[in-house]
Amino acid sequence: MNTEHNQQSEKKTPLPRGLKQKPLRQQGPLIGTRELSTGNQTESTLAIPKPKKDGVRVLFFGGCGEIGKNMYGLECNDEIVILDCGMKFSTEDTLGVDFLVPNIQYLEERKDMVKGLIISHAHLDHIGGIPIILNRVGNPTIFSRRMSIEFIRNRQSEFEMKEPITYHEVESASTIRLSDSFTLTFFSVTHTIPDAMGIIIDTPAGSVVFTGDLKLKHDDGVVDPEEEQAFSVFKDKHILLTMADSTNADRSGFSLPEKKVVETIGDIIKQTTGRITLCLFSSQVERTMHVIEHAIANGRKIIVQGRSMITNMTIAFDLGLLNVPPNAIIPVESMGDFPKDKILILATGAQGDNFTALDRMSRGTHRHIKLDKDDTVVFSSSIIPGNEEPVQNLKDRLSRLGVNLFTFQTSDVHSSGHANRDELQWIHEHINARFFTPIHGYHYMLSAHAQILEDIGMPPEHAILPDNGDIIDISPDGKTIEKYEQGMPTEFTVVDGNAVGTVQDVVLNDRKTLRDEGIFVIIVLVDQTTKRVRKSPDVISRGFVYLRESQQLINRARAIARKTTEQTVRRGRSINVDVLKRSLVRDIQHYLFAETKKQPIIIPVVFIS
Amino acid sequence: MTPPHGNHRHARRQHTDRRRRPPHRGPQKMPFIPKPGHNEVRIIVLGGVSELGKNMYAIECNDTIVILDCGAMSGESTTPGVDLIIPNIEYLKSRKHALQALVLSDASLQHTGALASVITELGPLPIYARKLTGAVIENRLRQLRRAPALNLNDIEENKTVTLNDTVSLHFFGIGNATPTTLGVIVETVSGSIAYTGPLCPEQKDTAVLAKEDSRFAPLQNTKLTLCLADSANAERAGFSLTDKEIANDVINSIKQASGRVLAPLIHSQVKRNCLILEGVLGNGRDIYVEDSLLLDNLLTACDLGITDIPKKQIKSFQELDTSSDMSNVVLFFCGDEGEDYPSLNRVSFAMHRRIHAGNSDSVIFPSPIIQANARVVQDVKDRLSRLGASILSYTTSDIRGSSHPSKDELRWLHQKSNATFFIPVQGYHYMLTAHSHIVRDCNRSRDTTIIPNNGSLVDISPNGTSMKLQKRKAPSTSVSADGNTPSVVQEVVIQDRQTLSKEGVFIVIVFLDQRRMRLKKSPDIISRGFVYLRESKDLVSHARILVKKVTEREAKKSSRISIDMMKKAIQKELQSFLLGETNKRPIIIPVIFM
Repeated sequence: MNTEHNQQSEKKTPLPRGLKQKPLRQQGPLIGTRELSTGNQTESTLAIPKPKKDGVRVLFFGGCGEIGKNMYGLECNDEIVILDCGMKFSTEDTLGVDFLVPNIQYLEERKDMVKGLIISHAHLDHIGGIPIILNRVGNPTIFSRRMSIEFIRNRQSEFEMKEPITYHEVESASTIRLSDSFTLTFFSVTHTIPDAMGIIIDTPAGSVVFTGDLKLKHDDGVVDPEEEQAFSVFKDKHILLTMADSTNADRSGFSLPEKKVVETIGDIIKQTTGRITLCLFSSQVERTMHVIEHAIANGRKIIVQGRSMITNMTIAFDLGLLNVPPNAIIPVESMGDFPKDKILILATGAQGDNFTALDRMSRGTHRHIKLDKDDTVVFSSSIIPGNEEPVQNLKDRLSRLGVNLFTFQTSDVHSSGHANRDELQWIHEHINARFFTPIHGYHYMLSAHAQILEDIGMPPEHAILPDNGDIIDISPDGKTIEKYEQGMPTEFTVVDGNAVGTVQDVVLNDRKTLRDEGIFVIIVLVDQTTKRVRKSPDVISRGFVYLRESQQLINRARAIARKTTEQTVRRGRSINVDVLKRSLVRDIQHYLFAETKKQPIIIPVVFIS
Repeated sequence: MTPPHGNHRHARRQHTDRRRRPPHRGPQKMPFIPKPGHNEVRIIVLGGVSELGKNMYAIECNDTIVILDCGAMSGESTTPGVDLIIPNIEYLKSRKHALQALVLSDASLQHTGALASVITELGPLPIYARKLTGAVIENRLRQLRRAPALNLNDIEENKTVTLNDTVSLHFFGIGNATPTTLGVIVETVSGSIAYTGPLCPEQKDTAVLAKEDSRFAPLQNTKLTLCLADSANAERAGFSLTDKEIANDVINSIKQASGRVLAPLIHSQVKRNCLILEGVLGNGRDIYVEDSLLLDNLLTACDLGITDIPKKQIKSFQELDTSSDMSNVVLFFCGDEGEDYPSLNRVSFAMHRRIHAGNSDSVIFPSPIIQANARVVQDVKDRLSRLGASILSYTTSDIRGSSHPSKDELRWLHQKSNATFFIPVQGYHYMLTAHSHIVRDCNRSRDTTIIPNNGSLVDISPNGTSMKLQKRKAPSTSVSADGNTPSVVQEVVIQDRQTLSKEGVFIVIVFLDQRRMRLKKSPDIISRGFVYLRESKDLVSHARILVKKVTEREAKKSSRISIDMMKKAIQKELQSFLLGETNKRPIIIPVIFM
């Protein structure tokens, strides 16, 4: 979106009452204050030879083979520029971890070379790693557009940094000379958040394009002139390499235009007689702003639920992007002052996560909002793979309350912010680069993206599918591209509680077993003189079976523990605790598995007195 | 309704403390539920209406019960550690003498998954199913070690089975298009009840074929009191895709692939699998089947004449000569509901014994990907793509053709049926609601529809003039089928598993010298899944000191030591200490010896 920022008037307009919120109460120490030293020693990356003089090296820190934690870098003549710095939410493989950030050992060992961090747009998978990473790589200046910088600044308030961050605001279509080897040109792209941009980095070997996340504005496949305008920067340019968003590369045709989505939502707002609750990602800033416009046009008051949504709207308001009459956004407490059919609630939580406003509404435990058959709930969002079940359950609960549901499956109320196949083709025809590396997506998406380029005539050897940790070198004359054999370290870096570090497999494996099988602790007191077990052994268990109903199982386990202990103890003259523990684990595990087909973690505790 | 799980950590109870009994929160005991009155008909919804899967319904009239389906579902994401969830059959167990028949409307796990444990618990009921369904079930049970014997009865089109004076069963809707599905009209003294099963009338260009009218004629000709119909796709506009359309798409896609093709199939979708195989063979490809159950079902289909593929053309992958040229081979894997594509997953990890994916391979997913598997599929695709395989997509792959009726088919059905009452079944509540809207649009008044919950009991008066939802409910808590015996899924256990998996556990063991009010030795600490103890020596020694301090302080407080108070104090102080140090809240278990 090409946004003309309004000149902020001298007298600042007061924040709408509905956007005021209490500051976040900090629980426990700040994130990132405790270091996890890595158990396993990783090799230094300094052994990796430098690129040739005037040759360009492309570094892939994260975002390839996954959706999330996008981070890339360019290196040339001992200078490095970083492109985006994202995070990824924890998955099945990293149970209990708060979030993941890319592994940046390569940069940590080359701090002095880092000249700047460029942020394409302000989504968490592109900015989320900043608080953890920035100080560790020499605290480079952040270059981005105005709104993105505001988002980063706002998020920074939740974290403590050793050194303060410096920002450099840039305009679209402007050019900055970053260092001897890098000159940056920025161009606007369409995404779901204002001020998204792509970057052209001029290097001695040629120009590299980093598109950021993008889709095209279009009307049934006819691309908007606005896009032609934005992509006209490529007209007389020879581009060496494109790095482009692959998220939807395996979907055919053009994506559903955002305009259509906003229209559909507008129609729903117009035609619905009762109260409306609209849930969307808080990152869908543009759509949220359009929805607010529609609501105001239909005389509805707006209530915003969900901290991230309020935060984002506040930022948009402060930047003058959100023009609302003073009383349009009201706090939830004063909802009762207006008739129900004059209310529109904007809420987060469409992914079925716990504790969100929508979750509480669906369970009937929200303090102010009780949904009933006069309510309409619009899910203006897709379902992230893995969240299907929570979302189904959420819809099920809402339906039980009698509300009308609109979802992307039943009407055009959501569209992805990423380009489909035909849009990507258009984009690549305009950029017309010599080489190509697809990024931002699972490997099969990258591979589908590379196929598009092959279809429009790029020789297959000019496209390289990168993986996290890959290093790709382009020769100084810009003639050849090749993947470097040795890569950078790729262990996940996790943020677990307040600690930051490489993941410890022991802990994660334990968590996995605890989740699927539970834990079973048996405590045995041995009398050294009589060589007998004193009292009956104690059993503690969590997540294994419901003990109240399994008294028999527990009693048998106790008996087995007693028998095993006494047998083992009597065998030798002195008591070997390790041997005793091992035989306890073996015998009890055997028994429990035979009885329940479960293999909980068994912890024997032996006291000798 | 459960409260949000916010504070369950604090509300934790001690399971084993023999001195303190937790408040009782055991399984739902079978409450007393009076029998329906003479000539009244009761519909018991045992499962399938707050989820997709575990379909199980029953009809009771004058001491005769007919069970309709007994499905299962996987519950991995919300109930960790539980492989399979089956319906709660306490109600049926309390009325064992009245059970007369079990009708299976389809062969998929959603309709038959709980069969083994249901038959084990209820005894050898006569089972009515189509021949292929029966064969598919027998193939599956053969793989279990302790499978019960089945009393299977094959059903043919328009057959009527008279159970006794009160109830007879009339079967309808059998066609060759879907050789596993079956509809049934349960005719009772007080009216007839139709259960459609996953009906899918054959259609072409958005119009149902004329021959379907005759197949579904019983629906129109019988005076129906009640109709129970499938809602799984009631939200989706238009017609569902037929097996044939999907198979054609898949075949075309495979045709364009140059090398070997790997494809996971759902073993119970026999017809679709046969169509795909026929097409693939027609293009001159060789077929190998990796999964033994899938192979059994395909061979059964050959035996029953569902397909005319010669049996010898369907080969087990054991016969695959891996050293020869494989560009002409299509390999079929198991892609079953409730399983994580076990063997294809192994291929993607490059851990399969004989099959190694590479540059020349293509992978296609011809079956609908069920919700619980979406993530797994994404990871499998990623890994296969990394091995060099290309992932084929086809035009209908997004639509995920499933064999459930969409809006237009349901409209067709409800225009045909003249049932007085309607109960939507099979699906989440919002799907049932969408289905009830379709029925309402067919000019039915709203009060003739009841949207049920799991455990709902609906009674129809003897003359069939009124339908009423009972206040009482049959027990409906989910039952897990893993382990040796089916047992009720305990929410406490599941919540513990969830906390354990995110925060871990922290156990402190304290020896208190009662006379001197001092610890005999430094407290012992055991922790799993919380932090890496070897790297957190400071944390552990600080925790030890804290526990010692708190215990001795509490012990000196009064002359009589309260173990409970002491434990609570340790838990509280330790929790705030650990939260402060690490920002995590493990489950803390203090053990005190005196």
